[in-house]
Amino acid sequence: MVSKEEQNLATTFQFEARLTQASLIKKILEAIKDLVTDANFDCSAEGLSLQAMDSSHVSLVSMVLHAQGFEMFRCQRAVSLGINLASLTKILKCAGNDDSITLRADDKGDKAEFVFESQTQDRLSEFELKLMDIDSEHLGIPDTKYSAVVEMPSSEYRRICSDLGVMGDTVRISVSKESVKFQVDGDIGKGSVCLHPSSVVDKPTEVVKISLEEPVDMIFSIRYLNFFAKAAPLSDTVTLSLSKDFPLQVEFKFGEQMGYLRYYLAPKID
Amino acid sequence: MVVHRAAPKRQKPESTDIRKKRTTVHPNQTKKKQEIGDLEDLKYLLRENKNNQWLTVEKEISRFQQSLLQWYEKNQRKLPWRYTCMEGQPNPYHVWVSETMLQQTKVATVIEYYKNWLQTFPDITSLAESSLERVNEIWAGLGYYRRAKLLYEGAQTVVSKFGGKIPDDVNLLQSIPGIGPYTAAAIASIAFNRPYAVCDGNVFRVLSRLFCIDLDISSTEGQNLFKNLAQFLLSKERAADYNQAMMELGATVCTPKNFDCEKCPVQSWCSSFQSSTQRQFPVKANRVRQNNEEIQVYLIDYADHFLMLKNVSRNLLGNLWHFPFVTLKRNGNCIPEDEKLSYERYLFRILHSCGYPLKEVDRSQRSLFDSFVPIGQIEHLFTHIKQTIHVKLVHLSTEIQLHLEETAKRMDGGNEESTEYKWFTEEQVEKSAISRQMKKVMELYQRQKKQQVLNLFF
Repeated sequence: MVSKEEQNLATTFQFEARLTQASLIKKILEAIKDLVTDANFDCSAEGLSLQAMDSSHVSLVSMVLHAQGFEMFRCQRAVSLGINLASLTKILKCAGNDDSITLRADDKGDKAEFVFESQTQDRLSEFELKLMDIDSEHLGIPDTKYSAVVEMPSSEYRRICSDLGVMGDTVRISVSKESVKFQVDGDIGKGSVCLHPSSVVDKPTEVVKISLEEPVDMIFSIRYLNFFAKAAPLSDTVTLSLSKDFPLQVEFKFGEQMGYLRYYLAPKID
Repeated sequence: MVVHRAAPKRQKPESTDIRKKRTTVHPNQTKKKQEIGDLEDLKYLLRENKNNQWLTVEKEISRFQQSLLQWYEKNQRKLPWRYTCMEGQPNPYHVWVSETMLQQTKVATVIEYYKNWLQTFPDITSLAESSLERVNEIWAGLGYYRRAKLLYEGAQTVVSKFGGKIPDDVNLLQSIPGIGPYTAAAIASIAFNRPYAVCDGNVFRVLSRLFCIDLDISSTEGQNLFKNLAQFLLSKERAADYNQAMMELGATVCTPKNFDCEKCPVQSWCSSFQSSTQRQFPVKANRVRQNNEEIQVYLIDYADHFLMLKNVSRNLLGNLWHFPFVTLKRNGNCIPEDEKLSYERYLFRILHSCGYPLKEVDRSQRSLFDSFVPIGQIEHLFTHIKQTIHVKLVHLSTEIQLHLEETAKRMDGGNEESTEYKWFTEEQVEKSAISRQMKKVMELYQRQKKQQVLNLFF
């Protein structure tokens, strides 16, 4: 038997979804807000997704949260929520990491509602965020079979990017069967970090795995790789996928079936 | 004696309270208003403040001057324009150049430009015989380009009217373009040791603190008071050193925020020090708030040349070359579409006159501009405008026969007849008379040159 109240909710909100932990959304936002200022959050029956390019059109963020990853997910009709990420960050600051978070939108599309509830359910806070009209070109990303796929610990990725970032602007990533090598050549000198596939079976999160179709050797801007490293708290491992003359894909998975955050970065020409 | 020569006694006005007088000025009493700030006023102002009785004692004034001058001898910064001599006298041309450059610009920035300037234009004649284009090139990056133009025109006036010799009289000096009361006093006093007090922002600040003067330094009455006060305190025998000492004190010790009263040679005369009110002075009326502007710059690239236009308007960055740009937003308000459209149409006319096929222009006037590839954004700060610059790049196809040889040709017809455009190579962009803001655009392009964009792939 559906209560009257719930019936009301169902008719008012086209979209409603609840996550048990606000920390996931907070971390996602931290990971993209320096790259993208405004973005459309697309809500459909499949889940919540976001795709946006940075202002230079050099990199792209693509985030998917599957519907089954939510505690509750209801979408009557697909809606697109245009949100300024700086404003959203301000609102999410008011949520505790362990609070549950409920996102609602009606079909007028002029505002989104955020409800934070503490674990003990004795504290409830509600926020309304005004929405924006954001023109965004949606890029169709082809399903590609990459030449080289490298899986490594996120912390390792973050460390390499920040270490090499002090030396220069660009990094050359070369992947062979034996190793993946990050090289930087800057004004003050050069440096490189080389990782070999490891077989530490007992610690799966510290494994470096390389699967290779053919060796690749490409150059990327370190600045952007460093932006991507902000997603490291989201996942223990990161997957870099490379193909010659094709954008690099950097993927952070949110765990089983939850979804992923992917970055794409256009290569530099030698 | 000194006191009387500086400002002859005038009839004392009825009112003895300067504040009262300020507020009770009637329209028909404008003459009286101008008297505010004369010697009498100084005395009244100071008598109100018992600590500053010293100003009426000649001996104290000379002690004040001595203390300041001794400090200056020991502590002056070694700046290139302080070591320029011509026949034993400071070179007035050097004083002129340095004072002009120092207006609104930090000393550290000026030094390199100053040296470079004197290497290029060692004397007035060489400057006068140069071209405005060359002058702007040397000035490029220093900002407030009107100064460069006026300096150039001033040099020509000096050559034609004064036989290449800079006069030592303030009135004659002020007849030269670009020389106002401030620069005139600076040249006359620093180069010729004439007894004119120089009043710049530094001096205003020092004086307002010395005497706790709460008049707005940008108001007419405030300015008059400060000017008279400065003239009154001036060491007439050593005007050159005294003026520089006052400015140096304001620049190095009596600074706006981090003033260092312990190092101040005239601390014992300072009212604001005694009352710990340094922070309250000088009093400034609320300035116009800073404006925000968003512009879209188009880098139009053909065979490694970039289209640049000459800014013929007399306002900001007049006469300098710039990449085509359109203003998107001013203080958060979008610019009307037709304004943008008309600019784009105008750009297309230029492109067309260079050989860009009109057919294509007609078909997709909007979409061509939209298809320009964004390569990033930069920020640039003018004094009164914070500009966000979005940069888009377009490569014109090489199949299009551009008539590059006609580059400098003027646009035909219409009110744009004085507009000029030109295709620059990257190297030329670096060397030409181009503002820092546009050079930043070029730097951004160079940084991004090898960076591909995602649109090419997906």
